[in-house]
This record gives sequence, structure tokens and C-alpha cells, in this order.
Amino acid sequence: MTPLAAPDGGRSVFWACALACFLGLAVALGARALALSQSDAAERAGGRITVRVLAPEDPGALVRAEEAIRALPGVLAAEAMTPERAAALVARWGGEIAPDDLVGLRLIEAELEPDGGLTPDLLVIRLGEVGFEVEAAAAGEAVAQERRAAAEAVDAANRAALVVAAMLALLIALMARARAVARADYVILLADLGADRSQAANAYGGEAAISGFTAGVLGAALAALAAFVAAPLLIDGFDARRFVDGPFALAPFALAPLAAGLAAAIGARSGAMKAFDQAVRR
Amino acid sequence: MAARARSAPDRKSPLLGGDARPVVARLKGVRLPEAGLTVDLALPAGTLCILTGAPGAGKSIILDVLRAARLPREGRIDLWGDDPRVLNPRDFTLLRRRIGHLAQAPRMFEHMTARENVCVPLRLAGRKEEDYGKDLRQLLSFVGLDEADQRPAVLLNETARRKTALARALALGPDLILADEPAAGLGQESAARVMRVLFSLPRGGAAVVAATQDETLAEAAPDALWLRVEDGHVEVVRPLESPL
Repeated sequence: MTPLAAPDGGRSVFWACALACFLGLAVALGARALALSQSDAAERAGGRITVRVLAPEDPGALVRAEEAIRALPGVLAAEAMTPERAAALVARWGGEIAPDDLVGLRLIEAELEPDGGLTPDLLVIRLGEVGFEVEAAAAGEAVAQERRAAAEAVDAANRAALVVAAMLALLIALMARARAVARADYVILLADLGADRSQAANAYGGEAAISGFTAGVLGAALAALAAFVAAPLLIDGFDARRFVDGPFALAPFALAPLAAGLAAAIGARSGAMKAFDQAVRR
Repeated sequence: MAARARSAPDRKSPLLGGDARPVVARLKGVRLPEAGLTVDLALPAGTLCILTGAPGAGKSIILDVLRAARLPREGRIDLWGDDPRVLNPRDFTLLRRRIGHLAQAPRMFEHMTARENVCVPLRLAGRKEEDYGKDLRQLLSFVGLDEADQRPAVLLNETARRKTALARALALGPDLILADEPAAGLGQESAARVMRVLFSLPRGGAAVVAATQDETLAEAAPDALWLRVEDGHVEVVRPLESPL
């Protein structure tokens, strides 16, 4: 049966829906990427131990200690900390110090295998057995801070994504409403032919829902194309497969078109009812 | 013609002029400041009324009041015994379904065929196609439309659009039919057909009001009630003489 609402020649709501879904998903994926990168950083920080070589004090001891650490089971990498690296770390936590003031630190950073069983105390014992007197500390508070920062960043990103999604839904609804009001001629015609308020609202709401959903599918498809095809080509090391890490990981791609259709339908219904009220109670 | 869509029983009431037929519509002291008019009129069922007047005299506004599309505050408006200004939305919708309106420049659902346009009031009233199919064919034939025409309304010429609008106005078998300049813009033959259709409707019990600036239409219908909008009032040029 031919729909009662005439096809919308303007298409402005359609493209607004498509763009809104694309942007909404881009923000959601951006938030997810940020969450993953923060989580990686916290993970990396959690697998590090900083070693201070106390003895022997000869100039070659630091290099030998570095090799000794590297030879231990459970160690992925070990590297003496340069003054520049130390200054960068200090700056990261809000301090300011010149690299020249950090010469002679005698610090070695060791990256450990996850769950390799090597603790700071064990590392001190192992190095003692081969003639080095050292102090060792896990990232400790720094790691905790990293994790807290990561969790806060993820929360903020998720909240931002939700706010953006809500604003885009509101935008779609308002555009659909304005479009329905702009097409009041058809609502007036429906009223003249005996439609009641809900029939007018349904005619426009149904059409807007289909249009919004279709546009949402288009926007979601473009977002998926951007995330899974374009971004890996343009960004070195970007692995979109990491987004797909759970049964609901792709849910936003399904929810965005549904939300767009719903928002468009609500807006169009509201506009049609307004036009209807004006038509029948002049 | 399509089956009637009566939603409430007819109410009998005394008529101006002593006619015993039920009053379909009565306006008393209705002030229309936008047209500088005060309107008093009563329409019995089965009446053909020709409403004449100069362009801008307020004929279309009176039709709007009669179809409850314009609800002035002052004066008494009575449609089948109800004041549309105080009806609840449901009853208001049912009341409007008893009124067929042929506008001077009828709007169409341009994406629909003529037949689909005519079906819209039936769909809105909840009718099923299997129930009205035969009546619809008769109706389309009655107004001179080709049922097989599959062109969307946007491609129809003015005559076909006017006939479509007329059939659509009649689809629910209304008790009151309002036609605004029904013959304007039509060729002689098409105009005559439309007017023949309109003039025949009162025999089925409906009241018909045709608003026109062409007084020859009123002269061509000697049995019709002839009202003229002039000098801010509706005057009776020729009263109803013989009730049907």
C-alpha cells in the first residue's frame, strides 16, 4: 500500500542522520581506541622494574649489570636510563629538571615478561649472586597512577561519546520535526480528509523512521569502512581488529541506525502533531 | 457511490422557513472579521446551495467555517447539532469525516495515482479495500475518471486533478459537500460534468454548497437555494421553494 506521507524531496534529514551516525561512531571508536591505548600504556608500565646499581662503582659496571639483567629469565629487555629519558620521566609527573643534572644516575630499566614471576626482591638476589649490589623497584605508585589515569580517560571518553550521541540524536529529532512542520501542507491535507492526530503522526513518523534507519545504516557502513579499511592504511601500527574484542564490541554499529531511526521518528511525529493541531484548530 | 460513513444519528431540528428536513449546518451571528462578514445561514439536508459573491467577498471563509477548518469565536456554529469548537478530538474527527471538500486548487498526494488519492479518506476511516472496491469503481466512473490510470497525481492535468479531488471528497459518502469554484479552470464539457455530479448529490440526501463568483451557475439551478455574500452579510437571493 502506498505510504500516506509523500516522499521527502528535501533529503536533508536523511543526510543529517547519515552524518550524525558516522560522527557518533567515529567518536565512539575514538574513545575505544583511547581506552585501548591507555590500557596498553598501563600494561607496559606494570611490567617494568627500575634497578639502581650501587656496586661495583667502576665505569663499566653499569654495562655489565645491564647484560646480567638481560640474561635473567623473565626479562624481555634492559636498558640503562639516559639523562634525557630520566628528565622526560620527571617531566611526565610534573617535575622539571635539566638532563645535565641527571648524569651518573646508574639506573637500568628492565621490561619483564607478563606473569614471568620476576619481582624486585628476586632481581636483587639474582644480581647479588653474580656480584652486583643493587636496589630495585617496580613502577609501583607510578603504575597505579597510570592505571587511574587510564581508567579516568576511558570514563571521560565514554561519557563524551554518550553526550555526543545524545546531542546528535537531539539534532536528528529537531531536524525531523522541522522538516515535518515544513511539510505541513500534507498534514493539513490528511486532516482535511479525516485523519486524526495519531494517523498524521504515524504517517510521518513511519516514513522518518525508515529514512533515519536507512541513513543510519549508510553512516555506520561509512564509519566501519573508515575504521577497518581507511585508518589501518593511513595510520602506522593501527590494528582495527583490536576493536573486535568481545561479543558486544560491534554493537554501536547496530545501535546507531536504530537510534537514528527512533530519533527521526520521534521528531517527525512531534512536527506532524504540531502541524495537525494548527490545521484543525485555526 | 461509496457507502456512507455516518458516525452519529441525524438530529431533527426546526428549520428556518418551516422546512421539516433535518438541519445539516447552521451559522448564526458568526462574525468573520478577516472578511468583514457576519453570517447567518441554515442548510437543510438534501439542499443544493449556490453561494455567490465577488472575489474576496468571503465565500471561501464561509466554506472553511462550514467544514470546521476555521472556528471563529463569535456566533453560533451548529453542525448536525454539535458545536465543533467544543467537541473532543475523536468526535471532531468523526464530524469532519461527514464533510467532503472540493478546494479551488485541490492538493493531492502527488506520489499517488488518482485512484490511490481517492482511497485515502477510506483508508483513514479504517475501511478495507475488499469492502469498498465496487463502490470505488462506481464513484470513479460517476465523476469520469479512468480507474486504470497509473500516473502519479503530479502528472495529471487540471481536469483530472479536479475530478480526482471531487471523487475523493465523495469517497466517504459525506452528508455535507462543500465545493469552492468547482468549475473554475475547467473546459466547458468538464465543468458541466462536475456541476452535474454536484447538482445530483442532494437527491441522495446530502447538502451541497457550491461557492462561485459565476452567477449563471445559480441561474442554471432553479431549485437551488441561492445565497449571495454582499456588503458584509449573506443575503438570500432565492429561498428554497420546494422541499425534496
